[in-house]
Amino acid sequence: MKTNTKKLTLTALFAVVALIIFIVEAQVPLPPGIPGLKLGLANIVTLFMIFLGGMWKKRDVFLVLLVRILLASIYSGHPESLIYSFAGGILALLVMLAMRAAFKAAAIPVISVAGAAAHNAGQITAVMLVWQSTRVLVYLPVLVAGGIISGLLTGFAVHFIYKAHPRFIGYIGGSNKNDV
Amino acid sequence: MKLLTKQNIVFFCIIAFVFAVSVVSWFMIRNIKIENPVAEIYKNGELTHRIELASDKSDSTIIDDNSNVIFVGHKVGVIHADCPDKICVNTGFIDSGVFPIICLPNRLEIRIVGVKSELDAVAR
Amino acid sequence: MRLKIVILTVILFLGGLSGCGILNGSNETPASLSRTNFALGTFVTVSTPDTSAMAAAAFDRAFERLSEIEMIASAKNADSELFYVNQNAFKNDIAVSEELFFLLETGLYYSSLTNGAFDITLGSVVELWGIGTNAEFVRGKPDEPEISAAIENSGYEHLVLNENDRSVRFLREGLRIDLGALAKGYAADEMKRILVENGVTSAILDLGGDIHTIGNKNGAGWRIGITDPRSPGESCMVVRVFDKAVVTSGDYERFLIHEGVRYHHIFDARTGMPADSGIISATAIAESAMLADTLSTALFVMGAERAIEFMRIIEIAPTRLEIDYVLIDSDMNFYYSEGFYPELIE
Repeated sequence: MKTNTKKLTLTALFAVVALIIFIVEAQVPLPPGIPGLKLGLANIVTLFMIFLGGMWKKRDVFLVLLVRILLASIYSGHPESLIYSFAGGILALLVMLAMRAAFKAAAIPVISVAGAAAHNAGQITAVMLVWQSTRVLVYLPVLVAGGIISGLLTGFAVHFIYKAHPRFIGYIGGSNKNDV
Repeated sequence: MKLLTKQNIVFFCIIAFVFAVSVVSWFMIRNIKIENPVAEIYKNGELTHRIELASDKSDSTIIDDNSNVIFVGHKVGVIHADCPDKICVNTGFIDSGVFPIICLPNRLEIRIVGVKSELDAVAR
Repeated sequence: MRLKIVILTVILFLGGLSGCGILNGSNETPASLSRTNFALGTFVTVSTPDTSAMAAAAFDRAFERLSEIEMIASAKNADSELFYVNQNAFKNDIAVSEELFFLLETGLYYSSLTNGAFDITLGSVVELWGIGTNAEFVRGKPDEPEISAAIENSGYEHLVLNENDRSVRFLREGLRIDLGALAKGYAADEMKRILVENGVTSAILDLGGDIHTIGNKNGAGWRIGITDPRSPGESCMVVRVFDKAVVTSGDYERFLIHEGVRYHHIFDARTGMPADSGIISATAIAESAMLADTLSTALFVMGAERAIEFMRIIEIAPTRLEIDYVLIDSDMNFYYSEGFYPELIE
């Protein structure tokens, strides 16, 4: 198997970008008292990669996500937050892939919102399982609303990247068939 | 992949609807008031303290469980935490409402429950 | 098609979301033993956190005692001893059981102590109005002559008790004894006595709104709500009691409405009409439910000024009974006994 240096480098780059966004995001002040509520901006990398096509397969997206979550939990320093991030991140990815498969023509922001909602639902489910308590469900509405906002933000960001820079997409090995 | 296809418009409408419902239910939940509040402190899912919040400001207790320091007086709040995120400290003090103070890393939860419904009987 | 499924899923998800979020205020009630029977014209409920077989056996005995009291002191039950006395005691000395004699003696004592504000001989007035029975719908408000006749047939001075042979004699043909404002309290005291004798250390008794308590509840006092007289579904205050009875008399409990005027079920012996003292709710808190029952009625009929004066006299009496009271007048002013501070509910 031929090692694709370009792909390897780009994968690492994606993971690093995701991690940087994650760390920057952690500094953004949000209404206090709401555990797990993050803007979900790191999801932007996952979302971007899903639409790449070309040489980028689903397993690459998984890989970048895993690397990001593992590194992030080292930075945040608490093993339990790994479970929550993992549940949220994986569920978000699965839902976005499923949405993409089911609705070929769905716009990127739509899929992004679905992913963000799934991210929060996954986190809250993990919290309920770990705590054996349904009490945290009171946060569901605010997490869903927050997820929709961050989903729209990341969704439109990715949408405009694809629309404005098709040659860049081609350069990093994406499919040129993306007629966004 | 155009943005404004019929399908996408339907999706955006659904999103707007979900958003509206979430915001409305958020405000509804926020406005739930609890009378005669009692603070319940859970550690690792187990109830460790159950303290009636004082009706005057003179009476207070400090609970230190080695990872969190909790103040219980006429309100309850976490005043120190050893975890990095400090969400529980930033929540501030509560004396009502359905939103608990949560410290995810230390598995600490402080709830406010009311005792109003716990009348043992009503004289008529 | 796929789109419809998605929309449906989203709506179901939302339904679940909004439902769960609000409904999960888990209020686990601890296991307890509770039993309800119908007696003395009302529902009688006893509850205890003690779920042992011993407590269940104590309940059996307590409710047996309740039926015994019903068979003695109910004015409405045609098989009761009191019913027989009411039919036959005019110009006859009727020997009665020790228990009924005790109730009549106590009732007569309080009737004279309260100068008739509490009066066990108002049976004919109660019967005439029929409030709380089905007769009220047929009759409405009685006429003046009927009321005058009923007053003629009332008054504790027309009841003669003879201690030597435990006999009862009526000096008026129409005299009827009604132990309604006494029997429930007595039954509560007796049920409590049986429960305590049989090892129950914590329980609450509810005899149609007359509350009696045994011990405390997990170390804390029993929280008893006092009905808001102008919004009877709610409580306007909470009192904490240990081992005491809380009895309220209010104008909202049973009443009839005739030509737009509301007539309640607590009568003034002087007028034969529902008491119009300005007080709409009177609560007495005492160790004896019978005393609390009697006093709540008496204070209701007396009105605020007389009631406060009366309670002051009782307080300095050699018995030094520890009695607290709460009066509410028609402007929703509250009057408390000294040193008594219930929690008010806004």
